[in-house]
Amino acid sequence: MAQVKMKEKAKVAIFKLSSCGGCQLQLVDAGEDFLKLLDHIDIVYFPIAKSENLDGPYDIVLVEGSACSAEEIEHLRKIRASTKYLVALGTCACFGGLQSIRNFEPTAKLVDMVYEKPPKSHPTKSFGIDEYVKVDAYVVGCPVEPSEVVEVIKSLLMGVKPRFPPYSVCVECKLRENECFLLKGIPCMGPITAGGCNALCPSSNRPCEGCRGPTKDPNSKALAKLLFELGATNEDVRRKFRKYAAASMAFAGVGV
Amino acid sequence: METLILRKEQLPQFIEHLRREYRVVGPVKKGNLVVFAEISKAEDLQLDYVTTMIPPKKVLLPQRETILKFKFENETPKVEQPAVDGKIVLFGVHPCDINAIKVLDKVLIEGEFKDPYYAQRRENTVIIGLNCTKAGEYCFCTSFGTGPGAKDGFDILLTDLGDRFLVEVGTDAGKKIVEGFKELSKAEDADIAKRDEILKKVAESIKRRIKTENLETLLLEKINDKIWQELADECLACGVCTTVCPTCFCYGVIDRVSADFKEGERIRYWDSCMFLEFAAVALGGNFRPGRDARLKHRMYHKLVYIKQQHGVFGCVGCGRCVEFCVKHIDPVDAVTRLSGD
Amino acid sequence: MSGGEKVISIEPLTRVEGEGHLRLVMENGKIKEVSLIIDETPRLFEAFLVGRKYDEVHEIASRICGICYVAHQITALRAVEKAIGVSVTEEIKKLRRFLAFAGWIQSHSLHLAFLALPDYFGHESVFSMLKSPEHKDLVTLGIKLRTLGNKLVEQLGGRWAHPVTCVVGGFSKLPDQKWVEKAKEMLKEGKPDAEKLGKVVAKLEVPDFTVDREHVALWDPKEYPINEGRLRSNKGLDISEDEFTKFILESTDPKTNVKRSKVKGRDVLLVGPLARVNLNYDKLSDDAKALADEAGVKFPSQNPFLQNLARAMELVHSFDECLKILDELDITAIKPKVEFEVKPGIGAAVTEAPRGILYHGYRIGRNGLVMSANVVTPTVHNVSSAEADLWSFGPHIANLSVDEATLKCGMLIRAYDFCLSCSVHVLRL
Repeated sequence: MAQVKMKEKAKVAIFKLSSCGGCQLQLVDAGEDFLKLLDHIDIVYFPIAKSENLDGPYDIVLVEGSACSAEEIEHLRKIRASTKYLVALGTCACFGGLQSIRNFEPTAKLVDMVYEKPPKSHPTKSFGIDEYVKVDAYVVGCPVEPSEVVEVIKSLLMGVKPRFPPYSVCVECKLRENECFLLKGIPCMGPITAGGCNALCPSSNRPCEGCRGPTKDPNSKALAKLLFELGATNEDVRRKFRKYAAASMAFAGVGV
Repeated sequence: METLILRKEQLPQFIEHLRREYRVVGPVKKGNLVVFAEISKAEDLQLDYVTTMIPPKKVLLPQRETILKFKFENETPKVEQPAVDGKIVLFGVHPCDINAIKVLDKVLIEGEFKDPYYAQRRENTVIIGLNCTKAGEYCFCTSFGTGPGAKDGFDILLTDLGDRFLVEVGTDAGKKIVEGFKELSKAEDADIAKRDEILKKVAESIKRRIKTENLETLLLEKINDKIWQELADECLACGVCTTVCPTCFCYGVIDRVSADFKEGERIRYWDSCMFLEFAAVALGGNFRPGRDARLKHRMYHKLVYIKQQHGVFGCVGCGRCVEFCVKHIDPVDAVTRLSGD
Repeated sequence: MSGGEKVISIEPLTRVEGEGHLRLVMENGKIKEVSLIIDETPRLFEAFLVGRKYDEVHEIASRICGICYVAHQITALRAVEKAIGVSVTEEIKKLRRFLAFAGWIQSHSLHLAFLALPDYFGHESVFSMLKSPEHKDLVTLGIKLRTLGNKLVEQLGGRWAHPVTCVVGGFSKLPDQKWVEKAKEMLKEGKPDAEKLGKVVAKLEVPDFTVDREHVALWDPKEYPINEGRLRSNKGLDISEDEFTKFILESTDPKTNVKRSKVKGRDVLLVGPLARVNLNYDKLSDDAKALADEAGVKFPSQNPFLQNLARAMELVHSFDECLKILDELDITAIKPKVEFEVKPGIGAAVTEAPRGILYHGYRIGRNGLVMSANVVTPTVHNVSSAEADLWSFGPHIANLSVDEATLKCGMLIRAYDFCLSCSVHVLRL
């Protein structure tokens, strides 16, 4: 039977660094599509779901979470060396995630706030994993959309670059014909946040918080200026930008 | 063409009459907005609206559309064209949007390359226009002669005269609809005078204006003006302006294969020249990497390039790109500043 | 087999959420060393929550865990609402109760079908079960239940993972009456599946292994507790959620990244389904109790392996609770959110997350910003409990091969349904 030309079953591994574990479950929760994919991939490393986990080499590795300790960075480098394709799975892996909020304070001080005695792993600042290794594809979102994870795996199996519409959240929000929060004077990160969520939060009557990280060419300064005009303080603006993707180049410098 | 009168209490029957043959899409309330959506009865309609956020273009050129499906059964993939939706009445379309559809027709049907998907939908669509009885804060249709009254581009055109609508018939399709609805009476000269009076008043209330004489020359002269960088500093590159524009027709195409790799579809979706990737090409090149270049391109396309290519302005003065831009970046203001007025 | 040194090493721990490993050393049939080590790097939520605004606390706290986000959101919301002086309506409480039980359906079905069962049928994972004609249907059943739980959370919460409609004061948006009808239909259709999975769990052969552990859970005179109640135990604890930090004490173990907890003046504690079923058995639905009869088990029980049975009973019970809530609900009459003003203050809340009692405590300042945050997750307690279990597990594994003993230890640990991502997020008290 003819179908899209593909090589033999690809070896897929799913690794977790500092994260909540939610993005890797989104793959499992992709339902039918996930089951169909299993005819074309062998998941050989996935400790949350499997007891027999194999070492590399792998064809595709999905990395969830950001590398925030010396051990994790070392681990990440080994993972990179063991795979053909490396996918950053979720906003933590792409932009540092919520734990990048802490990048602006000395980590030792924060550890001291949480632990009486120093814990085993000493956290460092949180960046997207491409701070340390080459990344072949990014799936953004906190959490990622199951369909987008499936899409990335399909694309890599076919040897094509994964493609998603280049929308901002605003475009999807307009297409869902929601009233604009910013035009009502309520701060929203929609204009410079990557779409693909189908404007879930604005459609649920909540402003966008930027969980999918920046668009390709965000004008953070101009949005910050608008937020100031709406009455936000420097602190407020900083909080907006330093959230899910505080480590991204586009957001890190805003409101300093 | 004939002019008739539809009394307002007859509207429900008229809609019923339309719904016998067509799906009727008209302006309806959604929260504080008015949107084009399918209606089942006249009461759903919100005819005193000014401008919708998403133009009726969405019916003719859907935001996301499967343009072909493919299946791998034998050696060659089997390709299938999805069926196009049935007959539709676009009800209550304002003159700016009627004129925007005329622009789309010019580009997508009358141009060098005919877009078969658009053309089929267009053929299945009847436009029942509605002249404006009030103007919005951002309207500037009078600059382009695209409102507040429509001259052509409709099958039927309505004007709200208070307790009744003046009904003008623009095409044979419109005529057929009107002839099938016997309850209409003949319009008097006074009705037509009243329409003209209303339209004149609305036109006078529209103060925003782009001077169209020598606009092309002016803009081409000012292509390196500092204003473009100033606007680009404000622009968020969010793509809202092109999303709400009734004449933007650019699209991207993407293939999606099923997870078992046995079938797939080719999808086209609205793209936007405001996005970085829009003018990106293979090997990493990009013709418009700067936000200023992209913003300028959008305005020049509307005000210069479409005119050069198709003989009409690509802007109909609906004001959406200004109203829904969180920065209210405004072509009227830009041109005014460039012309030194 | 019993002579000499035997080392059981599971690294990484598999089919549990998060990163960790176990090392257990036996010599001449006696256990010499047990170290259950959590390898998650601390993300320091409690530190970076400081300075954030009251209305984003639950959204941030949700990301502590990719499985029990619903519980984190509701607990954070309740704690913040107490701190700033907001009381929500009974209707909103009911909807939150619904969401929490839907969260249990998500989590319990995931754990039972995907993480726990493979061991009992000789598989390393659901992927291997899928290839077995005999056990494939169990995976399909698990997927069906997990998907149902996901949908229930999504329909009310906007998204199944890290829902978006929960806000301080209520919900940003509520579904309509159609949702109520649809959800009821889904629940009625899905309940037989839950019972089917429950029966499979009830029939599992488990070691006859009992310990003497303090079981702590929420308790309510009328309802099966989930979002509020008093904290009670089988050893006489009876406190309000505000007294939590006075009676549940912790210290950091420098070997791991997790804190160990104890009940004041006593020993380690067990939380989660078994503790809840033991303390609230009488409030379970008849169909949930029927599973205990099916298994021939009398509660209260001190066998940690029966956490799976308790979880299965709660899975069935969650369907009944959700249906009951929907039957009593007039969604069209509910105001999604109460109006409020933000006052500074301190607030603490304890709820029953799928894995057991979850504590959040916050101090909110005059400007509505978090001044201090404290989160104690159920796995914190259960890691200590599991470690203590393993110390007395010797006789059950002494005569087994290393492989068999490893499997048994793995099964014991998995019965706890650890959430290690959660467990490292603890503030010093």
